[in-house]
Amino acid sequence: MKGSARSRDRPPEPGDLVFFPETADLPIEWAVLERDPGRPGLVLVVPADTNPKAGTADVEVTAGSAAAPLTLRCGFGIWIGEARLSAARRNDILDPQDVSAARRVWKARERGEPVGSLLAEEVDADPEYQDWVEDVLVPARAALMVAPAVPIRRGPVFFGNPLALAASVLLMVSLGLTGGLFWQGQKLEDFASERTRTQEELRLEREKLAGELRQAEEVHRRELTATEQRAEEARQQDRERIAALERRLAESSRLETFLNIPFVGLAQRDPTRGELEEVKLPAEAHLFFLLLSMTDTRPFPSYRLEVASKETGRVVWTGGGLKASPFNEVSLVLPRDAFSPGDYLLHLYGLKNGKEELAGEYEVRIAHP
Amino acid sequence: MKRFFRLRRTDERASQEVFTEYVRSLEKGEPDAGAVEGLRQALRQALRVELHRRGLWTSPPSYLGVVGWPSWNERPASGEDALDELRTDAYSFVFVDRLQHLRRHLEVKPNIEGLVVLALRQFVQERQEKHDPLGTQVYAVLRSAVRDALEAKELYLLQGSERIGNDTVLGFAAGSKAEPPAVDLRSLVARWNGLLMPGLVTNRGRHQEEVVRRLRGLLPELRSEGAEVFLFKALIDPLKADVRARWATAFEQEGGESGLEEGDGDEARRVHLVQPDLGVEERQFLQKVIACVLESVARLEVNETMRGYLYRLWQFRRLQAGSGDDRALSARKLGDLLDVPRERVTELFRKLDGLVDQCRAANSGKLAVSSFQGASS
Repeated sequence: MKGSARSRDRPPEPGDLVFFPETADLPIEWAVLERDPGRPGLVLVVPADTNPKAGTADVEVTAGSAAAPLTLRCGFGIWIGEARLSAARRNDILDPQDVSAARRVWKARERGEPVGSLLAEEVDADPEYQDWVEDVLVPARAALMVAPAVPIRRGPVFFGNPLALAASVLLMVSLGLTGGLFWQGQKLEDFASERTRTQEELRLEREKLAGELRQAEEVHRRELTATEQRAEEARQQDRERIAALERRLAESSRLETFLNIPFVGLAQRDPTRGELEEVKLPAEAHLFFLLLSMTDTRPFPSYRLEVASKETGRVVWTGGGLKASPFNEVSLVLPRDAFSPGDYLLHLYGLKNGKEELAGEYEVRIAHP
Repeated sequence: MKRFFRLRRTDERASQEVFTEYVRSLEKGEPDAGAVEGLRQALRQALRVELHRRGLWTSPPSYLGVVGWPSWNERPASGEDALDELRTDAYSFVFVDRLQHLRRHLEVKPNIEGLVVLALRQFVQERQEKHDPLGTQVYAVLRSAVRDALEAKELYLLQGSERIGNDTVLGFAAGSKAEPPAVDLRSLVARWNGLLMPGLVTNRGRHQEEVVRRLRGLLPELRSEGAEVFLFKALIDPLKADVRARWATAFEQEGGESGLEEGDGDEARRVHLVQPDLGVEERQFLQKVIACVLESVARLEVNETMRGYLYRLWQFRRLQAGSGDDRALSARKLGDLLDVPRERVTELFRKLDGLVDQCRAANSGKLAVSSFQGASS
């Protein structure tokens, strides 16, 4: 392991992988990325783990490096007092290019710039990745933000030997009596130092959150502008479409268009019936008349028809607002071009009290001679 | 707060710390035969538990890339079975690729049993995503739709995990009895898929939100099927089965028609994504190429309709590579499956091939993507 090459006695530095006691029960390590040149005494750390999923704010350590496979989660970084690194245990070293890449992502995010590829966006939307964030990364960051640093030690075995325990207690009492005053003074200083550090971290966190809020507002404003622009484009497209439809309506209102319109009358689908009924729609017919006879006598205020390709199941036409005639039939005129040659399954739904119920099922084979 | 991955140790379990002891024995040199056999048994058991947890035990082993076995239960006279084959790859994923990581943790933790189990889960998840991309994507979309519906109080969690899994019981009224009736949802989900395909499997990332929203809007139709209360598994299973059937039908009905290169002679080119179970380096390279093509499609100076066609065709390529199906579909079949005009399919694929070549060159490294001439069937 590379980390063994360096002395473990020196304090962790940027580029090191470390464990903090506060997050020792989570499957993560922390990567030390940098010191803050503007605010001495602060270092940036980000969680790192071996889950292969990498989202937009993540940097995968280069394959082949000693620490790989490892992913640096730059969206969950935190500035901490450098003194807290003394409580951490250093484990390994990252390659400089990976540290640089992680810094770049962190800084880009700080500036509110988009990061990550479209492929990484797919991971962001992955529920398994979202679980990882919720279960591991969010708690890890929270634990490091609030908890005081306690040095990691290997789990000592207590109460193994009663004589050793008694000797230890005696020694502790003696040391406590002789060194108590000195210890108290030192402890007070430590507390004051820790308090100052914590206040500084809280101030930085407040600044960071305020920055994030400003960025979120800016993103929201941009999204609003883009949405308005898209809405305007959609309105323009609608206007053009309406104009085109009106032109088409004007053309189709000529009397000859409605002459010789093909008539398609369908009875309820009979599962025992053999070959489908074929309807030929000639090229000169822009429209055809469809009449559906129902055997279901339940009265429905209105009906909705859905036509799907039998082959692919894809719905090619759907429309509502149909009314049954006194002969328990519904009728409508459909555009020929919407139905390429093939077999179709038609479902007629009765609508009542906001619920749909199947009122009829029909089949037809369309041919374009 | 839920802590699914908290790692704990109890003295009762100390004697069962097979994974921890194995990694410790590696530090000392070659592990003895007993440690190796213990590890083999423990890995088998852990994988079996994970397959049951994911509802994969009754699915074909090919969903995890283990081919040639009809089921996980099949055990031939030779003794080696599908689970042994999976275990070999799992060993490599955990104890070769992640050994340094495990060692680092073992220096500060009393045991790494939880870490190994976690790595095995990630291994199975990764294999499932790679070899059953259709099922994985349908699961992701349905789970997101259900979670959104829960948040909006359109659905209520009646029993099981908040994470939404096979055992989760859901209902349309809070406080309903968690006793889902046996309802056949096949025809309902077939109708849904008629409305949702191809976006259900091709829309990823930011595009996925739209199909999640549409599926969420269809969920109340379960009530008219008598499923006021339902088991998540009772919905996801037919939904996946229908998508897989549509996909398979598109390929099976192929025959007697020309492939994509119809009329293009030897000049037609097709790029084939080779995606076996890759090492870290190859996987990173392949991901870079896939990401690069996605970005290139997003940046192309074409109208949004054309961009949509290219996007869907590229996602089709990825899905096809994942499912291991190397057959070429006719332009007509592809057009129907992906809602792309059939007469444009050849031209669009040629465009994609060009982008893949550029991306491969830009991310030069070990080849994980290869192009070849004129192979259409």
